[in-house]
Amino acid sequence: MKSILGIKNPRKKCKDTVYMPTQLNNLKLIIRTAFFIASKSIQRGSLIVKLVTVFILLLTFLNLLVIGGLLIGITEDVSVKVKDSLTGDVFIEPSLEYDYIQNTGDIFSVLKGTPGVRYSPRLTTGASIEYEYKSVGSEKNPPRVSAVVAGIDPLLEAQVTNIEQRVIAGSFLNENWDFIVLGSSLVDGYTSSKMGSGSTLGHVLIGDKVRIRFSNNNLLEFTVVGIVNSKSSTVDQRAFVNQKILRQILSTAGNSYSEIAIVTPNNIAPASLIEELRDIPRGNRNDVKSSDEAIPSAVGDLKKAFGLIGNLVGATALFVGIITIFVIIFVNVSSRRRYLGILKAQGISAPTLILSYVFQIIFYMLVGLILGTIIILIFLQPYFAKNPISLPMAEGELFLTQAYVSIRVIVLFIAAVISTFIPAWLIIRQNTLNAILGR
Amino acid sequence: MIKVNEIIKNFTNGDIVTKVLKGISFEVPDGQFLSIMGPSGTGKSTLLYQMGLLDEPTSGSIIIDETDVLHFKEAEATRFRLKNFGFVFQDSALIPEFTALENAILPNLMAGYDYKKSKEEATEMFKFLGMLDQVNHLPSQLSGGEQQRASVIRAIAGKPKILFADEPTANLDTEKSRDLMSALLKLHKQGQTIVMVTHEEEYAKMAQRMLYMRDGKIEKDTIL
Repeated sequence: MKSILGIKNPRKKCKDTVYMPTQLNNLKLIIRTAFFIASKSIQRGSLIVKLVTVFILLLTFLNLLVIGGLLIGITEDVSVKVKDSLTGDVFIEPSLEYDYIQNTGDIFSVLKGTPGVRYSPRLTTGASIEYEYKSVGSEKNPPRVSAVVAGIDPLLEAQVTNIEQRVIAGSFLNENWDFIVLGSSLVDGYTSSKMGSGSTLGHVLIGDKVRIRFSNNNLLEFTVVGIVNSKSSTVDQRAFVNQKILRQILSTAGNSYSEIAIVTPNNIAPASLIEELRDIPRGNRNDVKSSDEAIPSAVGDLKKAFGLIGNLVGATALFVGIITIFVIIFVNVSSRRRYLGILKAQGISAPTLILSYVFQIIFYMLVGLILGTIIILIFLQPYFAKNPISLPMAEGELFLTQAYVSIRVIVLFIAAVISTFIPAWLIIRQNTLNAILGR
Repeated sequence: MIKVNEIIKNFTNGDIVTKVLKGISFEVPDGQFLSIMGPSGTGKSTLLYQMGLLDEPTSGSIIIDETDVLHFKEAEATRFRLKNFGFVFQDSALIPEFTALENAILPNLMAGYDYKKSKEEATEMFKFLGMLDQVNHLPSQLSGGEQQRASVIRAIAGKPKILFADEPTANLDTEKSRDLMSALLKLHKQGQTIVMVTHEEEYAKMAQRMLYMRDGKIEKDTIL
């Protein structure tokens, strides 16, 4: 008689009585069976549970990326504005014990000898700028602000920074010695918001006269030809005059400079130029920095603070997300305790059942990530590119680097797997018989 | 051959010790259909769980084909159950998202059998027990009796040495209970060793041999 059970001899011995598969084979069996269980559960499981799980993972993913990405976008824009309007790729200042940059001759030789490099040496000094000094009587003080006055070569400056393009009223400097361009933070009425807490000169109009009192008590009158708004606080709190007149007033030597902004061509890494400039004789008396290193400390602090806020928001979102996933999985596994107990009785191992839940969450996470990426690429990034968050010091777009996204995806992946593994493990590891009998 | 030697099972709750199995010994030869019968609370299911390695007795030994199975570690016991035991419980507890066929082939996948072959063999089982038309039905699309028969197929799909059935007819009406019993008898005729716990004398007497239990002891051992 052909036996359907393959039991030709009822006295057959037990199969593989003490046989245990090798670890590798066992792992293969676990993965295969877990994948089978997971695929069927995904295919035919509760639609509501699937939708809620994907939605939670999608929201967590967006929360992790978007808030932090916007904050980074703002700080990146601040950095870019500082670089474009003040420092260039490389910035040289004298070290603290010197008033002016040392050995400028060798510096200029290096710069002139490096093809494609553009630079703008500046002479700066602190001064007091006054306005309406003719109309107010001697008994009353005219509007006055303290500011850094930067003596620039307008032609060189235009090749290195974008200050010329950032003139929002009037025009940029030319060769005329008595012209001045004021930063927007020194005046009122040209921007909707104002940085800095200091006083201003008031509503200065193009063509008006201002007077500068220098530290050596020299007093000189200038005609306002332009207002610049770079959204970089350092630049917008400066006044720009022709370098030649400033050098005369300060009686400084022709090779004395307070700062040099340098822009390198694409084929020259700023780091290699920095190294070269540091290696010149007496190069250690100067502070040669990259644009990132030259960022004013306030901007650096702002970057750190925004980064921290972004991480806190992301961590909170992640925490809420993993707790929600934990609860969903816990409820799901608890409600199936009896089925799982019977599968364990049939010989389906606990790691197989746990892994089947992990496979499911990986699938839902991939769906969440794909949806999240579509939302970011199709909706959010174009939206914020068109409507950046406008702040006094920057305009924030959604700034997402590959490293930033990769780290967060990995963190979300690990968190989701852990928040699935723990509840599944807590329930499935329980005594098989108790699970079957519902005890 | 299953040898059950002096099995004692006590449940402890604080200081209270309840003696459920009081030194039970018997043997089940290969291919036998054994029913364990007795009133509620007499320890029938507890005895079956000890034999099926789902629970650990307080003392005693269970030897299956010369192997003392109570010495297995958890993973070894799971593996042993997978390869050698099939279980049918009071309710079918089929996985709701799996078709009847998928429920049946799952233990075989875990045992390392080829998917296609597992499917073919399970389909043969469905045919054998008259459920070929329902192989692709989800449990929700099966009647209670069909679900229980599908759970029998799941239990025997891996061709286990021993099929343990714990009150398999408890949730079925008379007609469906008889259907299920005829399925078990059909399997027994094929050489399947079956150990079935029931409190219904009519079904217990369909087996080859009946153990009657009372107060944690075997009161009567009858060859039918």
